[in-house]
This record gives sequence, C-alpha cells and structure tokens, in this order.
Amino acid sequence: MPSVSQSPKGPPLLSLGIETSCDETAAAVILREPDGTGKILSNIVRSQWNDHLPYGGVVPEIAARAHVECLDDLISVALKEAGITLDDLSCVSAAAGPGLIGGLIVGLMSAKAIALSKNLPFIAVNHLEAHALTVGLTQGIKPPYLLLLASGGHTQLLLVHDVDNYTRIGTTIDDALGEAFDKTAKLLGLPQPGGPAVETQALHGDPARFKLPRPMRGRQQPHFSFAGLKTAVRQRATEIAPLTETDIQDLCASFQAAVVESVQDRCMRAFEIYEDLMKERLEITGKIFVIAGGVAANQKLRGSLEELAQSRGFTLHAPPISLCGDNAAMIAWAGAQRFALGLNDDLAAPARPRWPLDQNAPAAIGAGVKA
Amino acid sequence: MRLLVFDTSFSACSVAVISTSETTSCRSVPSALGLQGESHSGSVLASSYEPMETGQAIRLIPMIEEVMSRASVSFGDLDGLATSPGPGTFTGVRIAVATARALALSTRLPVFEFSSLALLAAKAQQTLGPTGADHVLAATMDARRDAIYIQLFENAKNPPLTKPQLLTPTRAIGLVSSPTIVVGTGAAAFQKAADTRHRPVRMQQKDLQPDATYATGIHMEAVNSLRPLYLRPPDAKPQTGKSIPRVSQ
Repeated sequence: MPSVSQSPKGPPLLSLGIETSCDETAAAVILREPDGTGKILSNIVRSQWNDHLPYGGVVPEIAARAHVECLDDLISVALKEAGITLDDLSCVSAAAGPGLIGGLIVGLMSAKAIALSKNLPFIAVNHLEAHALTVGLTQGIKPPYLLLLASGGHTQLLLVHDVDNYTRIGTTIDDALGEAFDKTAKLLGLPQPGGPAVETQALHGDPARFKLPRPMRGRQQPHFSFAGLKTAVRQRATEIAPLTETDIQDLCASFQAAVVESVQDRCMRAFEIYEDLMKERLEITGKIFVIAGGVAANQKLRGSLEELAQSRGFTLHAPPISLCGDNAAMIAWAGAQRFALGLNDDLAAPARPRWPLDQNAPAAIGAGVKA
Repeated sequence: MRLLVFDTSFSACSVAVISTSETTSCRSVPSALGLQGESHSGSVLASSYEPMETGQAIRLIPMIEEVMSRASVSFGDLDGLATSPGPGTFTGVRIAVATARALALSTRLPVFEFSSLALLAAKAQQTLGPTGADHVLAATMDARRDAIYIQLFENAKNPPLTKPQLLTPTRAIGLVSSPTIVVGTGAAAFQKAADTRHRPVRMQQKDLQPDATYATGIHMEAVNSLRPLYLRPPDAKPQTGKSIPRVSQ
C-alpha cells in the first residue's frame, strides 16, 4: 500500500520548465523551498490558436513548426523575468509526454541541450503528473487526494498517492471532456477554443430546452463518455436549423448541463471508491478533491463540483484559472518535485506520445486508444 | 576554429568535433544555404555515425556527450556549433535545429548552418575520389510522394551550383546538362527519369546518408537565428462546412 506522502526535502531549488506537448509553447521558472512549498518566478505561455484557426483543430505539424520557431526566445524571457540566468538553475525539465510527438521532441531536445551544456540534472516530466501536482505549487496541497483531470486530451479520475504514484479509477472511453466542448463549439460555428465559447453562450441559455443524454450515469466504474452527447447535440441542432442566437445559447446551456450532471455522477462514484480505498487513513489525510486541466476553468463545472464535494465532506481545490490550461510552471514544479526525490532522467529519455500515469490500469471496457 | 557538428536530417544520427582553418568569409546575402559562406578545411578530432530510421531524439545528446569526451573538449573549448537545418525529414531537422538553438542560448557560441546535401556530397567525393572535371555531382535524397531533394555540386570544396530543391525526378533531370554522377537515396528515381530521357547519368552510392564526419571541407554560413529548411508545407487543409447553418443576419 502506498504510504502517506512524505514531502520531498532538500535545498531551495530553481527549476526551469518547458512545455510543448500540444498547441501552447511555454517556459517558466519556479522556486521550490526546502519545506516543499513553491513559488512561480515567471510563467510565459505563447498560444498557437491563431495558427490552427483555419483548420478547425490542432494540426500536429503546424504545432511542431511553431514550437521550434519561438521556444528559445520564450526560455530567455522566462529567465529574464525570473531575474536569473541558466547558471543559477538547479534542474531543467520538459514535458516528455503524453502529447503530439513532433512538439514534444522540440521541448525535450531543448531541455536536454541546456542540461548537457550547463551540466544540470534533467527531468522528463509526464504532462498529466504536472497537472496533477499543480495544486501543490499554487495552494500547498499535498497528496493523497482524489483528482479529476479534465482537458482537451484527457478525462481521468485518479488517486494521487504521492509524486510518481497514481491509481487510475476512471477514464473516458471515447472523447475527452475538453474535446467534447471543442467539437460542440465547432458544430455550432463558435470560435475555438470551444470551452470558453460554449460557457459564454450557455450563460444566457435555457439548460432545460433540449433533452440530452447524461452519459454513463449510474455505471459502477467511474468512467466517462462524451462522443454520444456531442452527436445528440448535433442531432438537436440539425432538427431546428437554421439556428438563431437563442437556439445556440440554449444548445450550449443544455449541453453544459448534461456534462455537469454526468461528471457529478461520475465524481460521486469516485468519492465512494476513494473513501473505501483510504478507509481509516482518511482521519489523517482528510478528504481532498482536486480538479485540474483546462476544463477545470469552467465556472459552472467548478461550482457544481464544489457543492457536490461539500455534500460528501470533501474539500475542493483547483489551480487558479491561469494555470488550468497547459503551462510550463506546472512542468517546472513537477520536475522540481521529482528531482527532490532523486527521480532524474538520463539524456536518452524518449518522447512518449502515450504515457499513462497509472501503467497498471486495465483498459476501460469499450475504450479506444485514449483510455 | 573548433566546431561541434551534428546532423539528424535523414536516416542517421551523426556528430563530430572538427578543427578547421579559417578561410575567407563572404557573407553577402545569407539567403541560399551554402551559396556564399565560409569554406573550411581541417581535421576531425572525434566523430560518431549511427544509421537509424528513428531515435535521433534519443541518441543525439548522448552522442554529443561521447564525441566531445573522446575529443577531450568542453563547450568552453569550442568556437562554434554547426548543423544542417535541412533538407530532411520534418522531425529530423527540428531535432537538429531545436538542439542547436538551445545550445546556442546556453553557450552563446555562434551557429553555422550547412545543407544536408552538401554533407552528402562531401561524403561522396571523399569516398568516390575525384569525379572528373567535366562531371556534375547531384546529391539527392528520397523525399517520398514522387519527389526528391536535390542539390548540384561541381566539387564539394567549391560553392554549390544550386540551392537545395524539392522536385519530382523528371523535373530534377532538367537541372543537369553535363555528365552527372548521382548519389544518395534519391539516386535510383533520378537515374530512372534520366534513362527515359537518355541523359548521361551514372548512379553511385544510392544508400548514402549525410554524415557529420565529412563536414571539414563543406561550405557553412553563420546565422543569427537558425530555422528549419522544410521545402514543403505542412500537410493540412483548411476545414469547411462542418457547422450547422445559422439564420442569416
């Protein structure tokens, strides 16, 4: 059984992080104090949304080309804003996966080149672990906790035992939650990224106007499914096309309501599993529920999960909205946490397009490659 | 002048530390790879070459470490970094460019670029011997989808006759009029196209890959910001007609 978290100790660390796994190019510097608390010294993110806009989604080759054009400049800016040089660093980290391999390689090669030439420890960070540990940097929350990680590429429920120690209890069997928002936005002709666009439209819409399914509700295992919901939105929209502004607002509100109910149901099931697995240790650890990833920025979802958590005796924590999306501060932090535990990588570390946090988790029934 | 040279443009990963005698530098218009630049001749202090289809992102940095160690040089002993930003596979050229740019950021060493096909030509000339004064050397690499990367040389020590180009084999034939020796993984397609047009082309070393070991004599150019030479746009088409129609306003 995993032990209650031992906070990594050691001298103050200055950690450079690099993130290039999807469509944000990012570099950041964080400070990790010996007591295990962290502070962001700089956090530079360049989004590529405009580069991908005409294509209706992220084009891997366009993303990789954009990363290599600007990453070294972003690193310079991050160092300058932090008021340090490469010589002041304790370690350098890059997201090595999961993600788009062309982009991952750009970040990885840059981090390795700096590590080699400055003789610095190098850490190949799992992007999902970085999301999972962000609340440690921003709010000082230490494992163990229950985590809902929801982004454009992933939707998982995880038990975070400690750094490098995760049990996956739920995952999506098809689309990720962020992907469902993006696809819904696209079919309604709303701009990308779809999450904020759908959320804004939903503010003024009627969530009860369209009957939409609540996918997976009541299932024993806390898995997710959003592909059918997206198709249902398309069908309702097609039936009433051409769409008025009100139709779009109502469709967005109805879609978001279905998402919220489905996610609430899945999280409720996860609470039960967490309580059962942690049992008497809950007295020591408390019941902490963390949401992270780009979708954690959705206010409606955040609010409803907050209520749900409270009703079950859990405290909800989420990173500030600016750190829900992809960023390099979380990579720098996860790298520093791993380094403090001696979990360095060697300079032959590969990019890993698929890299589950829990290597032992069985594939969810009916799931494709994303699970 | 001591240079760390590496290449990951095609199906190999290679690294060398070379010592060159500085020669005349003419940096007029830095537009075409190798058309102007510095010509070096010198010696190889240490080098390493590994053929591989993939895995350059894994091997490159450890190979740099090994080769520098064998050459007994540290980054402080170097006068520059040199690599090929292309032509090559998209991922391959980005591995080299990302590495060179980050090393430059870290070490503040100047960066020199050279054409991967110039490296190929230098290797061919060193291993084939003189090609004869009247021959042109066509350095080619397979670019898939019925295309090859091609660059023409008189002699690797002189400036190249053309820039690197991406062409169909048939159009590539149009570049040459004199007797030609063609080398590299595009050679077979080039030779086939030449045969149908009865052009005097002789194929040699059709499996040749660029190798940093042969960088001592090639033309390089100093660059402020190294950028990949893709020669081909990303394979992506703008999306249309996916959204549900709206009431027109």
